[in-house]
Amino acid sequence: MKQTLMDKYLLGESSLEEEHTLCRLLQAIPPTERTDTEEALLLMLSAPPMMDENDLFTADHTEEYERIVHQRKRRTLWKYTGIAAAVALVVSLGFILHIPSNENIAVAYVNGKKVSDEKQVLAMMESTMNDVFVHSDTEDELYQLFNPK
Amino acid sequence: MKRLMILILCAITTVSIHAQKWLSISDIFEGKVIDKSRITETLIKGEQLEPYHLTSFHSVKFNATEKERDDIEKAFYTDMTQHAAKNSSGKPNSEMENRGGHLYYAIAEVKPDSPFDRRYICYQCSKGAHATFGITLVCLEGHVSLQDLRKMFKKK
Repeated sequence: MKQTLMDKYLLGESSLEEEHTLCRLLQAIPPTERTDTEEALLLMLSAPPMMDENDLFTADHTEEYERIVHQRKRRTLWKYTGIAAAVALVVSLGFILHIPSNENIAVAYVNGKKVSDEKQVLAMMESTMNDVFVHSDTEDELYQLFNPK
Repeated sequence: MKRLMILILCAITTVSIHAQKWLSISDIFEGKVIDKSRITETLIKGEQLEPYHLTSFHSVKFNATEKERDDIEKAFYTDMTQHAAKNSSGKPNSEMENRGGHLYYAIAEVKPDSPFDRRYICYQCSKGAHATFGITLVCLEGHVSLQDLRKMFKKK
């Protein structure tokens, strides 16, 4: 029976049922007693069955397709998120580093009145800074002396 | 994925760092606390400041009521402590003087917008007539130390 099934298998005339039977028969033989042909046949019979040509076109691959599409969508989303994050980073750094502008401004407002004379504005700056650093302020002390609480 | 997370974290951190640098006294300079018509304001930026090694100078002078003085003093003190730039020994680079329980004079180095500059805020308050207070606030930036500023401006 084994030989008949082997011949049928090699001629490509065996049914799936016969192949299963042949596989079981060959597995029953101790490995040391198997011939080279039997060993080779057992290997071929133990291999996972190839998908039938008809199955290839009729099988439902929707799940796999959906998975691939979802994966691609996710990758694209991450790509755009990355670009957005990079832009945010650059803008933030721009704010922090405060890219120096070559703008020249010298302006003062005295009680709402604009002073745009550069020399006058610089003199006002010097006067303010002198007041800040020379804070011994004799006037203030005199005021406190003559205006007790 | 990991790189992206790091990138997002960096962006969030930089934005928050920038937000922290916003000073409380900025509102005073912008005229949100004292009406602009009561203020003497000086704003200088650019080449004119090169002899002083400064990049920007902004000052406001005005007479304030006691309540306004207290609010401004509080804002200045907040900035002075919360945004203080530390010197090499890890101490705040500032000096201050109190009179009658109130801030009379202070100058403090605070964290600048640009890492290439140093930023100082100055406060002076003197008692004026009719229960008012003459307040001077200055915010300046440049490549200059506190000692250099003193040398440059203490001419009297």
